[in-house]
This record gives sequence, C-alpha cells and structure tokens, in this order.
Amino acid sequence: MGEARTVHTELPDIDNVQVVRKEELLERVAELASQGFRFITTTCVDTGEQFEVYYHFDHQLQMSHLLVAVEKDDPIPSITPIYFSAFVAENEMKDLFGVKVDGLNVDYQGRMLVSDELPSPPMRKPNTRRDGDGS
Amino acid sequence: MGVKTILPFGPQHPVLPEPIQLRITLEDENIGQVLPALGYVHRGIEKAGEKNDYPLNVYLVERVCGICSATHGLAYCMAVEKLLAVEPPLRANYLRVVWTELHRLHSHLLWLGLLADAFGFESLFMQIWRIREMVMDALEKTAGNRVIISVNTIGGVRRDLTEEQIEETLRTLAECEKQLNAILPVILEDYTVRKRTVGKGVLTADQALRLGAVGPVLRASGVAQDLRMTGYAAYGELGFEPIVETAGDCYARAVVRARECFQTIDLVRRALQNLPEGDILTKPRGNPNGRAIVRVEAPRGELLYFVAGNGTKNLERMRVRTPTLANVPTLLEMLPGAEFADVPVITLSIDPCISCTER
Amino acid sequence: MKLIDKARMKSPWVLHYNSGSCNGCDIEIFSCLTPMYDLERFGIVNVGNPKHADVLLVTGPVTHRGARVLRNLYEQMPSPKAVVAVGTCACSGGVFSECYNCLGGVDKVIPVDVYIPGCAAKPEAIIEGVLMAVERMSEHTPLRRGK
Repeated sequence: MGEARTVHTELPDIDNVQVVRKEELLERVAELASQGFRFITTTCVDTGEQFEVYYHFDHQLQMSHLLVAVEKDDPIPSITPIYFSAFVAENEMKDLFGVKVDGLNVDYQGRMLVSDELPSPPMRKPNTRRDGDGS
Repeated sequence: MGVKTILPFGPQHPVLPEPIQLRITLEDENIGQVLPALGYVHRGIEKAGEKNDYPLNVYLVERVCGICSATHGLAYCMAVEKLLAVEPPLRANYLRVVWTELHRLHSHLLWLGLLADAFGFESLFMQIWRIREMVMDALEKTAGNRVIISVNTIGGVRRDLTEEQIEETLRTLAECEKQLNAILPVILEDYTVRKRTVGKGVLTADQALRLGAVGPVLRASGVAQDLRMTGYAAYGELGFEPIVETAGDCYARAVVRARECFQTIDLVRRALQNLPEGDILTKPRGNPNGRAIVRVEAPRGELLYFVAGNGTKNLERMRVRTPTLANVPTLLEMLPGAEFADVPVITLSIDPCISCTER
Repeated sequence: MKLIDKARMKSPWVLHYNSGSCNGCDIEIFSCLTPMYDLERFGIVNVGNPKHADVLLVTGPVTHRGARVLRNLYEQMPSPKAVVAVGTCACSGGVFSECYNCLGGVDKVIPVDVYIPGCAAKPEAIIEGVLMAVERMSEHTPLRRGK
C-alpha cells in the first residue's frame, strides 16, 4: 500500500506508522477521530524528492501515525474539517516548506511565522529528482 | 446590536511578557471573533537544528524556551539516545527528574504570579515571586545558572550533586513548601480571585480533546493525561499519579498548577532521597541514524521531538511541537462570547509561551 | 542640569520589549522587579507605554517582524532615551545568529547604549546595566537634545 519508505527498516524507526495515499487521508483521519484520538501535530520531512508528511495522533498516551508522501507541487487535503486545531500545524508546513494544503479554514497565505522579507519557504530543499526518473 | 470594533491586543502590551497579537472583533463589551497573529518571535530553530552538529543542538534546543529549557534539553537528548541506542545510567535519570521538576516548580510559580498580576493583585504577584527566588537559588546552587541550566547531555547529565547540595536543596524545598502552604490558600480561596476565574473560559473534556489541548489545560478539564505516566527518565521508579480537576475553567487550571507545585516538591524530594549511586554519563558513540519520536511532559504540557538522522553528524530533520502550539486553538473557542475584561485572564490561563510556539 | 533632568535621573521609567528572545532574559527582568532584587528602590518603574519611558530594555536577537515593532517603539519614546540590550542574543545574536529569521543583535536596528551579556543575563547584571544607562543618558542629555 502506498509509496516506498526512504528509511531502511533495520534502522530505529517510529512504531505504528500507517502509510496512506493522499486520496484516502481524510477517510482515515475521520476514522481515527471517531475512535476518540487526539490530534497532536504534523511533521513534514523534505527528502529532496518529495515531502513526507506525518500526522501524529494520541489515544490514552499511545501514539498512532499516518504517513502521506506527496510530490512537491501536489496539494494535500487539509484535515481541518475534522480536527479544527490542525490549522496551526498545516499553516506551519505551508510557511516553512511551501506544502500546498487544500481547504484550510484559517489561511495565513504562508506568512504565519515567516515574514515578508524572506522570499521562499526557508526549509524547502532544492528538488533532487531528475527529469525522466520515471516515478 | 452593538457597535463592531476590531481591536489589536499586542504585540507590545503590559500584560504580555512576549509579543503575540490577538485581533479581537468586539461587539460592545463582548468578544466576537479572535485571530492570533504570530511570527514576532519566530527564529528558525528547526532549520538551525539541521545545520549544527547533533551534540551542539542540545544548547540550541535549550533556548527554544527559557522557562522550560531543561525539559527541551531532556526531550532532545532522549530522542538522540533512542537513535544511538544509548541508555543513560540510573543516577542520571534521577538527576534529570530533579532538575526538570525544579524547572516545573519555578515555571508554575511564575505563572501563578502572572495570573495574580493579570487581574491586578500586585502584592500577591510579589509574594509568589519571592518564593520562586528560593527555587531559582536552588537551581543556581546545583546547576550553576539560574534560568538556562544546561544539565542534560546525550547519554546522561553534565553535573553530579554532592551530599551537601542534596541536603541544602531538601532544606530549601521544605521552606518553600511551608511558605507556599501559607500563600496558596489566598489564591484558591480569595473572594476576588474566585470572582475573576470561576466559570471563565470553560472547556469541557470533549472540547479539550477535540481541540488537542495538552498539559494542565487538558487535566483541568477532567482528562487524566500526563506523559509522566509513561515512566520516562526515573518517573517509572518514582511512581506518578496525575492531578486532575473537572470544572475546566480558569480557576480549575490554577488549582491544577497549584497542586502540581506540591506534587513537584514531593517528586524532587523522593528523587533526592532515593538517588542511586553510580555514573552520570554513558558515552555515546557514532552518529544518529533512523527516526525517533519522544514525548515528555513540559510544565505547559506535552512536548514532542521528532528527530531524523541519516548517519552523518548533521540531522536530517528536527521537529519540535511545543505545548503552547497545541493550546492556542483552545483560545479561539474560549474567548468568543467572553467579556473583554477577561481576555488577559483567559489568555494567561493556557500559560502561553510564545517563544516555544514559534521557535 | 535642569530640574526635570534631575528628576528623570532619580526615577527612570523602563519599557521592556521582547524581540525574539527565548524568555530567559525576560523572566530575569521580571525578577529584577520583585522583592528579592527590587529595582523600584532606585525609583525604576516598569511601564507599558513607550511615550512614558526613558530606558528601553530589549531582549532577543531581533526577528524581522520584531524589528518593525522595535523601531516603532524606539521612535515613540521621547528624548533623551537610552537603550539597553539584555542578554547575549540582544548583544550579538548568540546561538540564533545563524538563523534565517534573525537580524543578530539590537544594534542592527536601533542604537544601543549598554550591552549586558549573559545567557540568561543575571538580575544583578541587569540592575547594573540599567543604572549605567541612566548615567550615560545624563551625560548625553545635551547632545541628544541637539543643543
């Protein structure tokens, strides 16, 4: 299911990660919400080729994670219709990495933390994927 | 229908020690809509964490927030220890509890003082901060600095305590407890204080969970969640029960923090009395590789560190999710409908730490 | 020295602004105002309005957004005025000097009279610094007035 992970399995890794496609993200988040999970935050990792976005959830001090991998220019759906509080984390991803988020309830236009003096998202890495890689 | 006014609250305001702006839409005296404007303290620590060598990051993350710096250092060290498969010695774990809890004590006292200041009870503010100075002295005597104590390092702690220091800290704590016992009834039973806090900014358990509230805000709404229950560092050995209140208003949050002061004193005392003998540092080897998440309980709530290494001395990613970031959305639900005069008290009740929030 | 200058030296009012600090220095400034250190015994009062203030205490490495507010506050303060940079970050940027959103030091934005190093600056040092600023302000009074 989903995209390949960039981290080798023999290394220390986060437990309880489910890799999901971005089309099924909202569905899976809604499932977690109905089970009473508390939304913690999102983490965006720029691998150079694509963005890996983790969604962290907590239930009775047990963590559960969803992982979505997207192309750098592809938008991901906002989970704010399900978890209102996610707007802070999603705006932050937008600010720092330039992740495109569709349907944000409170949109700071990429200027929540980063001020106008900085032209581009400061944590975005140059795209390392060459044309014709086929993926 | 009243007159609509849009009022900027901040960024420089006498009530706020830190710059944050709340754009408040007022209808007469009542608050309609609130939108926080952030970014005045954003420095870019997550990016800087990728540029530094990983051992140097300890000093960087301690400066994410000066009030809970020991907790930030602890969380980062625990995350890197996970990647390097290093187990800190037992004595180091106990000492980590001592310093983190002393930091929590000074943070909670600071907050109780600011709360008194927020509704104009200045003598109470002064009294609480006078007691807090004892804790600051204890920190300075044991760690060498007052605010940023920098005791954690990857694999353990950097300082050991002598018998004299332990005895002196225990004496200070006893005195601190005595004085707190005398002054806290003023906060919790005073007519004026109750008038200003009871029933203000109510958050139910459902709301709190849905909005992702953490720490004392969550516990004041009746949800028993405290990451110290997971038993990291030496909390497992020392035993821990979270403090919970059910009312969910500003008063309940004050009560949770006031009771946690005593719990913290008790934890430090037990950690110092049962301090095991042995080393304080396991030397780490190699470079971090892989991904790890660590959560610890900072004074303001759950603090999350996500660390990704790639086998070099620089990290691939360091993500910090601080407790205030999770508590800010609760303001957007607590403030609308409240009276304007309650804005400082309600805003303060989540114990906002803006330098944490924006990093 | 005119009477009003003399009065000002006796009771300088301070304004505090955090321009991106980690809070460490800010809570130490607060500590200075509390009974243990008690800046008020020198007549020093913390105010919230820049138009009432004589001394500006700035903490932090100055972020882009903070710089705008800082400049604004400085311009609103009536002359003669003094600026005190509290803490290593305010002096030089400190650990944040490499960060993308920091300008690195208060003197990149407004003129600074007294630098107080330390992470966090100790209350004793802050008291000393504020008193030095007041002294400097009294020396500079004629110059800053443009006489």
